[in-house]
Amino acid sequence: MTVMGHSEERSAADPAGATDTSSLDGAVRPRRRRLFVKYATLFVAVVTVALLFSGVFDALSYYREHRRALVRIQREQATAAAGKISQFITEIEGQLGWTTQLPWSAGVFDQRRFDALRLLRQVPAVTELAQTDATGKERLRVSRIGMDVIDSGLDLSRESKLTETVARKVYYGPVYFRGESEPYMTLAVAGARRDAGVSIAEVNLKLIWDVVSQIKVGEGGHAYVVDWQGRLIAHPDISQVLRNIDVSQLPQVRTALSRGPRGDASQPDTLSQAKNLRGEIVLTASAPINPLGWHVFVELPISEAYAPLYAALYRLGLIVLAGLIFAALAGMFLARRMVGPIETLQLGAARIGAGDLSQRIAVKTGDELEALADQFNDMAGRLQESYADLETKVESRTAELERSVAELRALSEVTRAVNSTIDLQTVLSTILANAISLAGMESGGIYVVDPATRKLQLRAAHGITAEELALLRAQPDHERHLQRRLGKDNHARPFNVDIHLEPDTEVRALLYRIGILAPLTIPLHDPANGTLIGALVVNQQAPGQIPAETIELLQTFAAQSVLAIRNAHLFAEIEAKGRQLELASQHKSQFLANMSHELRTPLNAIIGLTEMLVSSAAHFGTEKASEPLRRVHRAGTHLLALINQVLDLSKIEAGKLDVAPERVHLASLLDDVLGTARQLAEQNNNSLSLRVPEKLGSLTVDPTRLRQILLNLLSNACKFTKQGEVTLSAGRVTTGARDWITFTVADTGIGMTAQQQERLFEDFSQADPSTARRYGGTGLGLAITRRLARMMGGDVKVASEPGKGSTFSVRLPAGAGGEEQAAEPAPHRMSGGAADP
Amino acid sequence: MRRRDFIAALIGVVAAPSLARAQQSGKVARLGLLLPFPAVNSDFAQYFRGGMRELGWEEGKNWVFETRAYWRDLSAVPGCTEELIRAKVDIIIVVTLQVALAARPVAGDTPILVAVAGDPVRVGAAESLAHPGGTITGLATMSPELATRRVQQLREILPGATRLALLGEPGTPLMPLMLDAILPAARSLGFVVRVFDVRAPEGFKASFETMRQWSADAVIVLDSEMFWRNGPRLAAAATTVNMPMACGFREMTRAGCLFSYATNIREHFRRGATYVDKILKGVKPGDLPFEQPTRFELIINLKTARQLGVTIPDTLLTLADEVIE
Ligand SMILES: Nc1ncnc2c1ncn2[C@@H]1O[C@H](COP(=O)(O)OP(=O)(O)O)[C@@H](O)[C@H]1O
Ligand SMILES: [Mg+2]
Repeated sequence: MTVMGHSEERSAADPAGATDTSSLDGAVRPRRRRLFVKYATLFVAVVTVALLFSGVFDALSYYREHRRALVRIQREQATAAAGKISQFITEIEGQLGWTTQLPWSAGVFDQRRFDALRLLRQVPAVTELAQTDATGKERLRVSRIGMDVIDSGLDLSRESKLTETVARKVYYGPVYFRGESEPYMTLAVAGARRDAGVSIAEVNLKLIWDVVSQIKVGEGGHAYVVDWQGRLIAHPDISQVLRNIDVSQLPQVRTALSRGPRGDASQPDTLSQAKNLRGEIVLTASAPINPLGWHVFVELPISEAYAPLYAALYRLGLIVLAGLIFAALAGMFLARRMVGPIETLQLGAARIGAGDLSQRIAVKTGDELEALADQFNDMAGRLQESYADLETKVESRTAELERSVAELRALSEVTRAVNSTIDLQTVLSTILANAISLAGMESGGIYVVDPATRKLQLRAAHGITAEELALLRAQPDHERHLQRRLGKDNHARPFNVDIHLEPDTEVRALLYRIGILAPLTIPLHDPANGTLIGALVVNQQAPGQIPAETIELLQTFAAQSVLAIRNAHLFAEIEAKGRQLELASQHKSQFLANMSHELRTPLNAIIGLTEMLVSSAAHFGTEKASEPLRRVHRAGTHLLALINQVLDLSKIEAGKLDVAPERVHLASLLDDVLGTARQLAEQNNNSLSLRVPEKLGSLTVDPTRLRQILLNLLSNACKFTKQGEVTLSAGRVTTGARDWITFTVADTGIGMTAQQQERLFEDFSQADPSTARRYGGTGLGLAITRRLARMMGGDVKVASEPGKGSTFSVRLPAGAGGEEQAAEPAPHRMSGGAADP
Repeated sequence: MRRRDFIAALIGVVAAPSLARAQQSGKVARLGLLLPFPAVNSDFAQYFRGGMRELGWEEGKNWVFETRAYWRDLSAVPGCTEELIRAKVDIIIVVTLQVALAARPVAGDTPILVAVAGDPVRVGAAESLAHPGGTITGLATMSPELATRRVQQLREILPGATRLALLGEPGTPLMPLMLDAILPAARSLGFVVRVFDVRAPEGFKASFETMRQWSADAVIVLDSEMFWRNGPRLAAAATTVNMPMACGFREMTRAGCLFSYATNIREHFRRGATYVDKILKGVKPGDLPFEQPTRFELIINLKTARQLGVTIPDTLLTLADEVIE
């Protein structure tokens, strides 16, 4: 038996087993899910936190670096631009310086004019140049867009630009707009020598545009310059400048200007986020232009400034997202990897727990889980071993049980056979077949001692072919052989014979041929007198000893065989005796019938002659002789009745009384019967009456026998009643599913005691010994009545009380006559009950 | 299923901005160019193209020219303008204020860019240089102011000259403005001035003959598109009467004029592209100031000087931006 089979057996034995395993699965799933989700979530959470942390950290540091870089770049650009512009101004200043080298004297005038024109050519920003002498009078003015003016005589000495120039050697005028659109500045330089006068240049600041427009700040960014009043001086979009816009309201400009017209260049402006002229939010930085007190602003639209940042953030977001997806997948994978073995362990353990001990948990993780799985496997192995042990024990016990059950079954079958059938052949065959199959033998036979010849005869054989059987029967010596041995050794116990060791006889040769090598013979003894009644022989085809328990078992069968043989013998005896009895009874009936006939013939003659003699006695005058003659006549008549009744009875007994049913009209039959009985009633002065319902109808019945029944009862009633009443009544009664016709004869006579009623219907029985003397009669009437009633499918019963009268009732099946007799032999037992003998 | 959606969404996010950009670039700007003659491939057009290229515009891809020529017939300008408007141009580019003023009534809201504007405020094309206010904007030349400087330069070359002829094309809006500037300047430098009119190149010779009869020592050509275009013919006419001639366009000096002092109008066209750029980006022309020139070029033709037997003083030669030998 395999372990699987065992587990099946267990789960089959335990109906909850099946549901156990399914509920096991059901219980495992969500638990597994929970663990799986936990692991996966944990993993994803850890990775997410790490990713987000590093992402945010990266983003923050990138933002800071980016900002710092932007700050640096913008500030550098602003500073560079400021440098360039200040260089631009300084150069003009330097150029102007050249024009004030020479003192005003007649000889140098042309030279100075030429110098001035050359300055205009070399410095495109200077649109106009005026020169004054030491007294502050304008001596020369050259212009790109106008004619030269010489010695205009204009006195500029009072003007602030001149006084300031003289005082400081250089003067930077405020920015002003020509034609309300062109930014200009007056730049004046005083000559090194006092008499060289002052050069006053009108500088077109639009040329700073060249400087400013060359400053590239990203794609949409630019630089612009604001003077100390907050006016836009230079802008890449020159139209902005030409519109003469005051930008001092811009916060970044205000902040820069608040540092003063000569702001500290070493203290860099902080980068700020602000709105520019177009209302865009920009990152802006500024640097002061010394010594003008102007400021260069560098600005970059915030969208562009942070575009790389946003791109980086976007990338970072994508990376984080990809990381998250990867983490989720990896988490799921790892969780599955981790949960998988645990799940396997759990399922395996659950299976082992559910009884599947052949289950081995395959966890090859090389860690504690594997060790745990191994321990589970070990445990399952041990359990399996111990179960296997137990199973072999159970198995052998079961086999034993099965064997004994088989034995019992065989025995019960045998017993049943013994009890249920008296056919010895069948019983012995059954016993033999069971004995051989249980003992594990091949063939065998049962020999029975014939009571007549005292010889053993083979009565039953098993496992022997018909051909072999014929051979055996043809060799009756083998029975004699067996008998001789049984008789010789006087065996009372089973004995084993090895054919090889037997003397070489025809029997031995025969047995060899049939293949009987080691017959086991069990003698069958009658336990009553110890005589040998037979033998049970079983053949083992291989020579050798037969085990004691098999012999014991066979002895049981032997005992049964003894029982069967004895039963058979007894039955045979009983049968023989029965046959003899029956024969005797038949002879008696035959004799009685014959005798009655032989008696009636002379008796009729005697009665007839006696009657004749009595009637003619008076005629012959022999009246004295008439009394004895009457007695003879009476005795004869009585004898005749007796003989008739005995004849009837014997006929019934001998089975020779036939009933001839025919359709009878009951009312007329009853009338007829009443007519006959009237004579009897008158003898004891009894009144006789008939009570019949209107429509009694007819009945299929033997009218002679019915009349005989009724007359019997009526005659009794009249006989045992004096000056009383006798009533015959009839009617239909239905009991259960059957219809009956009931005839009742009631009288008011002497009645009977209960004891008397018991014996009433027996042959030759009367109420008490005096009855015959007082009333006459034979005691056969009621016996015949009952026999007849029963023959016709009916019965008779009595109800009586001493001194009060008796009531006899007969019932007959209404549907049929005598035919039903065979079909319904058992009479219906009526109340008050005439007990059966 | 979910994963595919996610990827689709991701692609959508990445692709959406570039798609939007691609759709935006679908429009092609149409620039109406209204010239006195068919000159799609002229110097000016090329300078303008250069300016557009510098600003990142690609011809044929996001802008195209729609040119019309009015064949020097101002009365044809409104018709041409109408055609341009029908062609759904985004902007009309003209050379002179005269044409701009002629086109303005027809152009409606379509901006008009003037490449070489004399004095837009005085001719009524703009409220102010800083804020023109209307649909016309462009680049100013400062022609009148520069003309006075030409008188001075002529005085330096010809210290003994007394009679100065001024040749102008009557009807141009600039002419009276220039006269207003030149006449007092010339008188202050001791010139006797007489103005000569000419309406067509055919009259050049006759005009110079008249000047000679008047004994003009030199002539200053007042700025006009006709003179600018007929520089060689004008120079030839001047040569026949051996007349020193000062002009307002470097192209005329190259053609034989003695010298010119003016802005470089090719630069005007290049700068004009910045106006087109701004207007196409949605800036109203009224908000775009007329830009005044800052660079002026003195070009001297020494060949002509030799032919005339005129000696250019060294001081002037040193100051010249270009000397044609
Ligand atoms: N109607 C009756 N009343 C009283 N006793 C009766 C009656 N019928 C029968 N018996 C008793 O039953 C006995 C048996 O009757 P029966 O068999 O007819 O024999 P017999 O009439 O020949 O005596 C009678 O002897 C009598 O004692
Ligand atoms: Mg009787």
